[in-house]
Amino acid sequence: MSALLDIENLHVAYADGRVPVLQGISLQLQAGRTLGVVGESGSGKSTLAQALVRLLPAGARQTAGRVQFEGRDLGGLNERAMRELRGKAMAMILQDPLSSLNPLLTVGSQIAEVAQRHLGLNRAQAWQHAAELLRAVRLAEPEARLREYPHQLSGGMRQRVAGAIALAGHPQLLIADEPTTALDPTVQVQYLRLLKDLQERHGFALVLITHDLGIVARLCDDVAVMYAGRIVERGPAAVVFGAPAHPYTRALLGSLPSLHARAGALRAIPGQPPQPGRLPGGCSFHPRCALASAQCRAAVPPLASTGVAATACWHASTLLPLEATT
Amino acid sequence: MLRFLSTRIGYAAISLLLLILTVFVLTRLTGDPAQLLLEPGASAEDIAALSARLGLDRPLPWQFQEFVLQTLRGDFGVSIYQGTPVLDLYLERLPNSLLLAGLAFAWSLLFGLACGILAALHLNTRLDQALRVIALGGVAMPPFWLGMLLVMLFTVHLNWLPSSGAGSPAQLVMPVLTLGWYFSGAYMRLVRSSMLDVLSSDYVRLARLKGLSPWAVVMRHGFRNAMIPVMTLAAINLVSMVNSAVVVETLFAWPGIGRLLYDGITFRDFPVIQSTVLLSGIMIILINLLTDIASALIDPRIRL
Amino acid sequence: MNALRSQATLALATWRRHARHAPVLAIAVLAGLALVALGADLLAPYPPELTAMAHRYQPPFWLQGGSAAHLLGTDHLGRDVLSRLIHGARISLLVGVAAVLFAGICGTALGIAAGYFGGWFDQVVMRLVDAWLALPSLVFAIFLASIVGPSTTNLVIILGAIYWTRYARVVRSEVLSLRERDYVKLARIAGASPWRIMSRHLLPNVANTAVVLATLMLGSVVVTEASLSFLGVGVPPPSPAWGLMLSDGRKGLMAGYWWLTVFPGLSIMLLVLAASLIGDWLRDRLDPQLRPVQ
Repeated sequence: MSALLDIENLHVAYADGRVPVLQGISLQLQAGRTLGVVGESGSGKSTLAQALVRLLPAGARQTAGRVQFEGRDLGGLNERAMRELRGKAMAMILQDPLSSLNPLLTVGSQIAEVAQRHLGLNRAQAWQHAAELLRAVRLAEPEARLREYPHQLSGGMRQRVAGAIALAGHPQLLIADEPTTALDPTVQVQYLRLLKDLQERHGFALVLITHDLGIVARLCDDVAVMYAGRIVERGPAAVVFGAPAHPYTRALLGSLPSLHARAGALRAIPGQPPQPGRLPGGCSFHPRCALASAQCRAAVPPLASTGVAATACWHASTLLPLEATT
Repeated sequence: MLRFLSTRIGYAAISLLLLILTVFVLTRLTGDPAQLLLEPGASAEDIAALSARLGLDRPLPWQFQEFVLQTLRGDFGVSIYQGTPVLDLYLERLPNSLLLAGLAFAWSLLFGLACGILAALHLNTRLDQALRVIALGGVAMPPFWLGMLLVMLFTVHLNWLPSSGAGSPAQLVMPVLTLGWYFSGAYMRLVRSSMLDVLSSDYVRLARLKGLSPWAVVMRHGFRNAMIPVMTLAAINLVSMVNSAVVVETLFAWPGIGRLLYDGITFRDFPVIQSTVLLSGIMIILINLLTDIASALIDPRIRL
Repeated sequence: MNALRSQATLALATWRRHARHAPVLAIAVLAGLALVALGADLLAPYPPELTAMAHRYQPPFWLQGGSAAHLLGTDHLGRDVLSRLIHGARISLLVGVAAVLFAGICGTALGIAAGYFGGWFDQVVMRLVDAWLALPSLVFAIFLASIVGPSTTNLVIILGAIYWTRYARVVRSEVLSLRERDYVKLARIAGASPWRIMSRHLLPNVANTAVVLATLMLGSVVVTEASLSFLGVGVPPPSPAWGLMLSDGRKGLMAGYWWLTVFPGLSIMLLVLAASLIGDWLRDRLDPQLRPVQ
């Protein structure tokens, strides 16, 4: 079965092509599956989302590679064709629900306009559709909500509205860019559960971009770990979290505080992730890696398969399993 | 909404009262308002008679109360020079000023809007730079200087337009142009920066992500939001426009309120000056009130 | 349109970078004008009030009929335009700066007091400010001038009395937010007197805003003064105030004596432009929250 989304060797650079931000990104996503994209700030994960829908910021452009969606090469589509896809087959939820909703328009009109645009519904039908969507995202009193303005809703409610907007065009692919980062912790859990339920009901593929490993472990089928614009490890979530092969993934997991471990020093990863355009030679992680060798400093390790997963590390085969922390 | 309305009207009423108080107090600043209200060189008996009639020997609070009542009744005194009630003079000239100011307001706003949007959409191109330079120049030029330059060009040099009087549309052109020019520059700059802010916001980004047409993105999501600060500026500019109107009307001999004020200065007609000030203030308080209400209608965050 | 948002973000970033660069030209112009104003007596080739009816309406030296004796020509009384311009700079800057300082001190003081004490005092001051702001500056100035009589000192007082309101409003709102800062609360708990708190904690922090406001307002004050002089209620003649020169220039307008209009107007424009550019730059550097001030 061919993948819904097939990204092949994608390169994106800022400043008109001079500052590389994404390098050699290759990913596949099957219909109905969930992919988690994990990384720190600056790893390029948001840029990846923007590249998928071809709404990159000023001066940024795709310098190499190919993105295929539903079998079509997106690079070959003109802007008008992309607009057909955006909001319909490909939908997105942004991080900050307050700023992503227009303060001057009612909630209902912001959902309905998607239906009017992509489903050809008239105004009355679109509002009807919007009410159903609000019900689907479990918002109380959907009809009343339609006439309200964003500032009258709480953060969690607004993010549900964002979910309704994303669902309005019956998407095949939903990209959620840090959807819970701006929400209260209690609300975060509910929202993620909602996303998962919606996915089961509607069958879309979900790309969940986050820096929170816990979310990924809980919800995602597959995970891709990004560092400095490259994927350093990729595979089924169970495999990557159960037996992480890349030192960065290990360090991330090792730095998670555990309720079970004996009290000890919190192991943060020493150093800072590099700025785009100021990457160290060779493997980008080597300045912070305990295993760094001459080869690491010299050459970029390719993303090599280790069975069902893949890792980009020269030392992948020599790593011992992580110590149990229980 | 109702609460919003009543608070705003309340504030307006208080401002009105304070305005009248200010005028009242300032008129008595130098001691003898009767002297001001009569023509210079009036005899002592005339002054005494007026003082008695105005009740200047009565306690101040009483005088103030009388003043407020007079104002509310529409009694603004009699012009020394013309001999007619000031209110009549004011109302006679008001339509002319409204015509001038209305046209100037309209053209400055529309022109500023168009240029601002154009500049925002063609960011950092030659067009954008050129528009910004013109706007900057417009804002720095004193309106009456611009008027004189226009007269030099269009009347003296080219002999296309008349430089004074009212009655024909040709006579409107230069005054309207002069009055609106300064403000169009201010609008253009604000519209441009406001559009840029709005166009880089998250909700515009989401609008693009929804696959909406560029027109829908810019107009439905960008424009209304960008207009909010422009409305505030429009209200402020209305006040400034009254200022500019005084000199522009004087320059072009346009028979409006500004010219009335100038005549008042020239002929030392204090009742005219005092009343024009009072009436202008009242008008502006009313306009500010209306603008507040209009803003609330556009932006739901204000009224709810 | 896809590039629009991207363009916008890039442009904002670029603009913010450029905003760090001082408007060197504007500062040079303002400094130049200040120097000219200070050294007016030395720089001007003639006393500004010297009349010479034999040489009335002489055009600038590069035109026919002009001479090197009067580089920028003469006016209807034969007075040298260049000298009057130079002395006019002194008047404009003197009145402008004095008025801005006067308005600034009163406005800042009242703004701090109103913001700090709150309550009825704040309400009274704010309603007064609203009422006074409702009066157009020029109209109000004319009113005051007709009561107290026009003179240069009176003019400074009048302008100060009009423009303090802009200060008070902005300073007050800033004090309202500063009041909640920890160091202010600590000072109050420690029992510091209101005077001490206002002068040691609040004043230095609103100083930035006040300075930006002062530069932005200088332009408006100069234009208002010029307008008042133009109308005859500003600086009294025969002073070479630029506004007065424009008013005189009006006489020769229809006859084509353009130099009497262009040069004084250009000077005003230069001063206002320089002040505005510097004010904008200061605002971007010191206090991005400030809205444009009229």
